[in-house]
Amino acid sequence: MNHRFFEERLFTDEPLTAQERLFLEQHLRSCERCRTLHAAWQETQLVLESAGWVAPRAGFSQRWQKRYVQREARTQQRRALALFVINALLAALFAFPVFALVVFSPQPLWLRVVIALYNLSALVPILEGIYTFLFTIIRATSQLLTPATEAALIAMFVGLTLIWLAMLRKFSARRVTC
Amino acid sequence: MEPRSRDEDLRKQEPQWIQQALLGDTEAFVELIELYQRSVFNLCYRMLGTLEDAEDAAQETFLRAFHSLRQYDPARPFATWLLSIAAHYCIDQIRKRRMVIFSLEDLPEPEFASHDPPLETTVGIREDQQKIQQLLKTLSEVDRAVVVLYYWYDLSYEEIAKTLSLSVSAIKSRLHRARRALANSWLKRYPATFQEADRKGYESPVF
Ligand SMILES: [Zn+2]
Repeated sequence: MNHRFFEERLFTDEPLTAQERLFLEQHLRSCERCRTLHAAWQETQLVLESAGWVAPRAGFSQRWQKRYVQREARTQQRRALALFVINALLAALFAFPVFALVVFSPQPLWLRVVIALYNLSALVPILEGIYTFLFTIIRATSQLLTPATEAALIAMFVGLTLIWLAMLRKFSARRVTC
Repeated sequence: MEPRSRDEDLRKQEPQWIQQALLGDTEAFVELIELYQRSVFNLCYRMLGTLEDAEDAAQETFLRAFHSLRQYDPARPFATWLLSIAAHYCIDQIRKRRMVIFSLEDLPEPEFASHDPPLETTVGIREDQQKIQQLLKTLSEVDRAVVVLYYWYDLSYEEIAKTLSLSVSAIKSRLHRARRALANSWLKRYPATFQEADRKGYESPVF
C-alpha cells in the first residue's frame, strides 16, 4: 500500500472496510508524510464543520426593494431611449426621399409649390364625394327617426363626448404627476 | 438549512408568496427574501470573501430570481433554486475578476477582506473563520462552490450536482480534489501546529 491509496481513502466519503481501516492505520504509523496530511485534514475538517453562517447587515430586504426600483427605472429609461432612437431612424428613413427630391429637383421652389397645389386639387372630387356620402347617410337616418329619438341620440352623443373629454383630462393629469 | 421553528412556519406560506410574486407583487417576494437572505448571503460570502461583495451578489441573486421566477420548478426546493442562482453568479464574478487581474498585469492581489470593517464587530467571525476564508480562496471557483454547498448546506451529491449543473461523479471528484487541496494549504499555512498532532498519530485510532 502506498501514499496514493492512503490519500484516495482519506478524502472520500465512502465507508472503509475493516481491512482497509487496518491497512490505513498501519500505513499511518509508518509514514510521516501521510500522518501530517491526515492531521492537517482533521484540523481543516473541524474548522469547516464548526463554521457558522454569516448573515447580512440588517435591512437587507429594504435595500433590495430600493435596488429593484432603481433598476426598473433604469430599464425603463433605456427602453424609452431605444424607442426614441428607432423612431428617429424611421423618421429619417422616410424623410430622406422627400428631402432628396426637394434638394435635387431642377425646378425653382415657387414652381414646385404651384405644381404641388395643382396636384392636390385632384383630391377635391374625393372630398366632395365624402361630403355627399355623409350628407346622404344623415338625411336618410333623419327620415327614418322620429324627432324624439333624434334628440335622444344627439344628447347621448354629447354626453359620451363629455365623458371622453373628462377621462382624457384625468389621464393626462395622472401622467404629469408620475 | 438551519432548523428554526419560526422559519418552518413561514415556509408553509412559501407557495403562496411565490404565486403572488409571479404576478409582480414585490411585497410577497420580500417575504421570500426575509426567509432566505441568510442562506444566500452566506453562500456569497463564502464564495467571494468580503461582506461588501457578498451583499452585492446576494442582492443581484434576488433580483435575478425575481425576474426569472417563471423558470422556477415548484417540484424543487425554492432554497436550492436560489442557491443555484447565487452560486452561478458568484462563479461568474470570480471569473470576471480574474480576467481583470490578468489584464492589469502584475498588480498585487488585494489582501483578503482588507477593506471590510472589522469582521468581529459586524458578524462575530472568529479567527477560525478567517482561516477558512483564506483556505477557500485557494480553491478554484467551482470547487469552492462544491465545498461550501457540502459543508454549510448539508446538500446531497445529487442536490449539489443539480445546483451547479454538473454530474454527480464530477461533484465527487471535485470534492475529493478540493479536500486534498484544503489539507495541503492548511499544511503550508500552519505547519507548526502539526508537531503535536504528529506525535498523537501514533497512539490514537485515526479513522
Ligand atoms: Zn504515506
